[in-house]
Amino acid sequence: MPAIRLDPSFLLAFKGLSKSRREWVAARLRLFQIDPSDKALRFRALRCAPGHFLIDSVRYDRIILRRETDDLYAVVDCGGHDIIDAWEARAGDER
Amino acid sequence: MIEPVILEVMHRLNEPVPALVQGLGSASLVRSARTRPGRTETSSRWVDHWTKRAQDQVDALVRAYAAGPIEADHLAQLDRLIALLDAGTDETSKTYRRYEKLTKGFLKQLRASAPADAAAFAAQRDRIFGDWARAALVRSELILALRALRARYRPDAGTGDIFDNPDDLTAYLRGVAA
Repeated sequence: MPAIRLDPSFLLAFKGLSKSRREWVAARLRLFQIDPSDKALRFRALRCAPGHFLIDSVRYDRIILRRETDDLYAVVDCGGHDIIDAWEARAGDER
Repeated sequence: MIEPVILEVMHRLNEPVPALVQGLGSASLVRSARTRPGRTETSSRWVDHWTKRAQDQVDALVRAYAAGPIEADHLAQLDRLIALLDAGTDETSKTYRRYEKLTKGFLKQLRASAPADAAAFAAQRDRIFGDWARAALVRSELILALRALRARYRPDAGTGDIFDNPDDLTAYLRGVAA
């Protein structure tokens, strides 16, 4: 079970979210801590950001993490956009 | 040198992807859908090329920050870049939805007046919107990479509380007020 550090940059973004979006982000982080390999997290390396990973989501906020050590991840940002869903659906046919 | 790379990233990520769909809904595209189906290959190649260039430039920016030296203004520039690109996403999102609606209406008319052309146009439309969406998704992920870069260089980076127990983590996040 990895340790999670909540960096100030994340808390700033997190505080800017609505209550329901905060709850969703909190639930994702909880799931990540319990089982980082859970497929529902869509956990993957972030493009062009060495050492960084994404808890990905089509419809909700995406969470950026940085791996500090094998056992410690820093959560550094979160956010989303309501168009991503539509783009994923369109691009899905192509990929 | 950080500034020139920031400018390159700004120009690349704000390139008018809608140029891909210019003319969607026009008679000329209907003709070309029928006579030159290769047009969509061009848009697909454009996205592949754009993706590679955009990634290379963001990689270069990450390297430029790593090489330093980083001055306060470089962080402000990165903040402005991210804000500008986020505004671009809002704009692109509106344009995308508007074009979807326009071309849907046009397709409906075409189905009534020229069913043979409608099939070719529909296929062309799907491909072009698919390419547009693909580029837009890459762009949105590159903005996340820039946000990760920005977070790394904040003076308070690395100072957060550490949680090694999901219940403590959940309780803490629940207590964070808006």
